[in-house]
Amino acid sequence: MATNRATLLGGTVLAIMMAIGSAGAAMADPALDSALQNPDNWSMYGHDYTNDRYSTLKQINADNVGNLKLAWAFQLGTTEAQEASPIVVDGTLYVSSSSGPTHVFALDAATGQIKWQYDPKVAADVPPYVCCGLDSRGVSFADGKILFSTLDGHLVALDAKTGKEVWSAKVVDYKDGAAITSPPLIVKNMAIIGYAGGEYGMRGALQAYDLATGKQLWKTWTIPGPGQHGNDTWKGDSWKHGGGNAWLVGSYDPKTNTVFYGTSNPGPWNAAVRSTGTSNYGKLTNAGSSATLAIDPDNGHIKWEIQSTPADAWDYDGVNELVLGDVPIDGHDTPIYMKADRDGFFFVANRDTGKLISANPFVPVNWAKSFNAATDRPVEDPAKRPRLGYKATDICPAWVGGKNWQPMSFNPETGLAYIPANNTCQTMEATKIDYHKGMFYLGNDFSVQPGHGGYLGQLLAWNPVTQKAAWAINRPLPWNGGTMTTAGNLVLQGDIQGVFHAYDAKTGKELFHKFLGSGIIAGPVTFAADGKQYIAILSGRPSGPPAFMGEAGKQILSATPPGGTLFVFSE
Amino acid sequence: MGWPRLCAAALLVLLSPLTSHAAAPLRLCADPDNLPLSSSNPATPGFYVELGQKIAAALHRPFEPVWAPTQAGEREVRQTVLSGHCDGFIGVPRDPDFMASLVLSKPLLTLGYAMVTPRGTAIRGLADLSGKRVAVQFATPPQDVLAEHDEITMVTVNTPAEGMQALANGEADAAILWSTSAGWIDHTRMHDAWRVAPLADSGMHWQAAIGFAKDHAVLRDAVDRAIGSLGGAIKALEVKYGFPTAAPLPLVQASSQDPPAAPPQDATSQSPHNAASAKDIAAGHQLFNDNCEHCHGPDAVTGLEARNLRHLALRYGDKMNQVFFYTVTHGRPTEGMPNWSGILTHAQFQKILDWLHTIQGK
Repeated sequence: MATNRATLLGGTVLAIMMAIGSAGAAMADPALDSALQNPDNWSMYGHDYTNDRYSTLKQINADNVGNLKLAWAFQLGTTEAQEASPIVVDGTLYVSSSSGPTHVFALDAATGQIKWQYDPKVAADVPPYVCCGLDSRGVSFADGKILFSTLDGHLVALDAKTGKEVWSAKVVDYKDGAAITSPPLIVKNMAIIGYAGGEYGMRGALQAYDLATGKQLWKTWTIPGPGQHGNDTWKGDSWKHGGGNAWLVGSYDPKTNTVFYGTSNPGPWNAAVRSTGTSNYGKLTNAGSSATLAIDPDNGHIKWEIQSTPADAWDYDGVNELVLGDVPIDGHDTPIYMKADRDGFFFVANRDTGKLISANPFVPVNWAKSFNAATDRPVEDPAKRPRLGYKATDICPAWVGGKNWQPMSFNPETGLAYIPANNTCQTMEATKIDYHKGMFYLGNDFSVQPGHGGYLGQLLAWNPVTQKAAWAINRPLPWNGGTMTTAGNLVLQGDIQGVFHAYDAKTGKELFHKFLGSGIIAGPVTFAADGKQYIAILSGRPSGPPAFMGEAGKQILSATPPGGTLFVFSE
Repeated sequence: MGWPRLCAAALLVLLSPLTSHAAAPLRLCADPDNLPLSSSNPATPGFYVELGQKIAAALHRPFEPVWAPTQAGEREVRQTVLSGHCDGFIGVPRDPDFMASLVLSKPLLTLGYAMVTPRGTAIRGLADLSGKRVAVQFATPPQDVLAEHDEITMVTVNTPAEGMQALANGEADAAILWSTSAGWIDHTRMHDAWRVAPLADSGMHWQAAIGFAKDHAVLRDAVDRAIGSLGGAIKALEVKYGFPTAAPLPLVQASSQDPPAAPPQDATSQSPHNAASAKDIAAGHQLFNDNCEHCHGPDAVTGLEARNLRHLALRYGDKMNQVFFYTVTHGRPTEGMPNWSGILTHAQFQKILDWLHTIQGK
């Protein structure tokens, strides 16, 4: 009897271990899975696999948030753009600074005391290869490890308890113009990561690495190559340098085993090289770029794609995060993804079937009059499509986007998405001489102007079902921070002038605000330690992108000095 | 010691140059890895570094290169010259549109793109590339030109080295690459196997200069005087670093649809520029912007040589008027140029032409 039972147990354990060992494992990473079950945690960048940045914690709520006090503050040690969302797992907070990252910290979540600190050795000559700021959007947790990316193209895994390096994988060569700025997506036994670099003639890809060993399990190009579906949507050999980089964060639906990533705009800027260069692009849509990809994580295959801007000519990256939710569409509870795209349209799609449900402008838009959900095609205004020798003026939105990387959130109780929106327009043509690695060329000349309506930024509460605004708070500048929402009926956001706000999630009434000294662009998070709820936010304004925002950019730079502080509040 | 010796010694002290403090080094920024133009390797310093040494010597100052990778272009210039890390940046485009915050030296040299072909081939321009495979660099003007010509197969590369390699591997029949890099690779690694001919077309070449912060105009003036004194030395450096010496060739030739030679006296189409009134010229300018700018660029400013109407005189000489009238009244259907007969009157065409004459070569 005893022998039989031991054999049975041994067989079961073996089966489980074999299941974990292959890329086709049915279970999530057990450590992460367990962390996700605990509402006290904020276990990944967007809270959980849905990226909805919604917490069920309500100890801090609309009634008492006005009393929020500083619990502790922590200096990150750098003053370049602070874009990280800290994660908190079982009482430990993990956060990365900018510039490398220069530092990765593990802190006691209740007190801020350092448990360990890791300083990666990042190549000193990286800055010229990074387009838009020496940023890091944070770290990921899984399998007893903390994982993060570096600007010089590496994915690093540390022991979560000690901070010692376990492995480091070179994902991409930064000298090709690629950098990695976002945390990886943890799925089963894998860390999935993309990279930036569309400006330099790269072709985008997503790669999966084994959590235990750092070995690459698969690599999938975002831009289809010869023989792959969609390759004929690229003219000539332009697919080789097509861009379509997946540089932001991914989402995951365990029910259908699907990973969702957005991809950046196609390269080069001159659409005539890769398409027709006109609004009649026909078949030449440049598939894989400015799109949402649905990917099978077991093998990296692309299941389907929905493009937000075909044959893009405006620098409308499609990388914005896919927020997963379940909402009533035509009376049926429907599994959707939502994307507040750079191009100004709010996309709602059935994430099981890959069918686009609706796409409506959430900010003033004029490059297209509408988006036809049945055909997946925008109805363009040809006068707003720039090309060589043609200056298109007053194009809305500008490259800044209706929303940029700063994350939005979704509250299932209010049914609203909370979007850090921008209202800017641009003029664009290619005539300005530019200079790159000793070579001159005619660069893409653009200038950013304020959008129409007297406001350049907005905290927008948007109903994804009706595709209408519920409420909105105008801000004088674009490029404000990400948002977070809770069951305590709260929405929280920091603005680019350094003020951290809390609002009633239903009505938008402001309930709390505090000036934190440097412009805020990161998204806030919330967690509980020892039974007490906290709210955390990084402040530290950027210097890169504002340089390309004209007068608004100058105002962003002069509003506050650079900074690097983690503020943690509680009652 | 006699009195004369004391005097002589005193005189010597008075006449020798003051050496109580060393002259401040002339610090010029340059890319550390951009041969033949510049390199941090002392064995092959590069054109800019050697030129910088000569300029500094002419100013009686030591020379100090400050290495600045030019991957980030304008941003690098902002973070170096405009932040005081160096006195000037060698090799910026000599164009007021580049960075308004700089003052520029006189031109050092002309840089641009070159057609690279096997020696002895008859390839002279776009027309000869039909049906051929041509290597071009990603996001450069030659790539933009080839994008308009589907009869030419584009082989896209990221660097001049990749382009030269594509030629050597037989993956391309010709290449249009950054000229100084192509010439250098051809000379140092490929035994001068290739013909490197700089392009004459607008938008394919620019002048390079040294850029200084706006408040350094006095230094810029001194550097200009130094450059002026160096003439022959600059030419010698161009030879040393294998700069292409072939005569510039125009990539874009006149279209085969141009009318055959017509009698020179044609009263209806001749319109001496100085006979047009200022009012006609202004009207022509407005007509142009109202009707033609969406293809030919506002004020006829365009980066696309095939549509560059500021080069009509360069391209057609004294046939310019004739070609203009023929083209606007017949169109060029395969190139997307409409026939404007019946849409604009002859008088309107004449006014547009009057204005075009005022902007030729500008």
